[in-house]
Amino acid sequence: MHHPNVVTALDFGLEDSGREYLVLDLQENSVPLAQACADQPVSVHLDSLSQGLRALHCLHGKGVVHRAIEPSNVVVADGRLKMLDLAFSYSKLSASHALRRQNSLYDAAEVMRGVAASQVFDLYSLGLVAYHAFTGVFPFSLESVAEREFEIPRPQDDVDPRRTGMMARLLAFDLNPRFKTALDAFAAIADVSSEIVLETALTRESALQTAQFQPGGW
Amino acid sequence: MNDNACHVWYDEGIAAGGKWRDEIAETILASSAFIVFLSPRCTVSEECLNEIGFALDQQIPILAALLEQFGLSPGMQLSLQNRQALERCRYADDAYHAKVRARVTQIIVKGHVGTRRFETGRTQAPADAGFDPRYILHSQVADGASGVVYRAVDQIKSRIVTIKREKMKTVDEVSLAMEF
Repeated sequence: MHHPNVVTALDFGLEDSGREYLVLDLQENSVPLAQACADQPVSVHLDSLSQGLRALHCLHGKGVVHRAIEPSNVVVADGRLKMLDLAFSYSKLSASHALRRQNSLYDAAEVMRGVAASQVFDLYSLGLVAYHAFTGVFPFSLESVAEREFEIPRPQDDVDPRRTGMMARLLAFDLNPRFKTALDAFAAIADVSSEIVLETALTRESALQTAQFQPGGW
Repeated sequence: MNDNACHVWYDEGIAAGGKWRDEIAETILASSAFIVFLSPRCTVSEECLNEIGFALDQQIPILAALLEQFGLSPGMQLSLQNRQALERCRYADDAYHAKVRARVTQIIVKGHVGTRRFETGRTQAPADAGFDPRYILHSQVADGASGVVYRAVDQIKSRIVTIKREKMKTVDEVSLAMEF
């Protein structure tokens, strides 16, 4: 995995006790998304959200579901969002090794009811983390995870209409209105902000570095 | 060497039997660098020449340390031409050790050790340390559900990294691996 918005694994190993370890690049000067977005204009918020969607686009494109998107795993360092902690991620290749995790306040209701995690689940969690970071408000009246199973999130009408429709779709209680892919959600941002583009020089370079050689692919 | 982030292996203590050649070959294959200590006896040893040839074929970075001044055999000259060499007899003990450490670090970095680690699989920490000595842990950064994160120094790449150590799992916890 190599993407400017996903933490990079540099090495891994096994201690003599059998404990595994992972060496990651250091996120120097990183702050939580909420701190990075405080008192910032909506354009910065949209840019941050678009970076998170780029990360999910990359992960999902490789068949990986993050499964644990919450504030501690979404940080910003020098203006660049980084998605951390793939410890609970799931992919078809490693399904049997996926770790069980406790539900968090940032999980979609259907996951709390036992539905398997999917791309849509990640999008919901990212939307909830972003909404909370941008507004400082949690769109639920209930604080308990157990009680959240059937509560419909009620994001307030945003001060900026550019975010309202997008947030409503990211945080929809039912699956149907939600964005189905990170690319869908990204397109919605690009519609309201012409400065945001899916492919940047960094993402292009990352794609090249992780591309697999295919004999005869030309 | 062990105290300076290098996990040293040499062929002492290999059990007699038909497997010793495999053990040497497998260890050379998994090595980041190969140091050959040259003496007059070594230069005419077929086994030594075979091991050097194998390391060269596998493109393992090689450092030759001459234990004394003598003329290399033509075969050894052919094998080691253009390889880094260090003359033991020219240095006092401390200076010699420092030279070896510096050269090994240099050839490991040039030998793209990082890539080899990924290709050959997991790094096995030596038995006398709980952790790969390449990394020196500094301070704890975070303590999450899946592991503890530390700030650390990668001595080979000379950079600061973070290291996430898995929280030890019991047999019961392992059996909770999620089914999809």
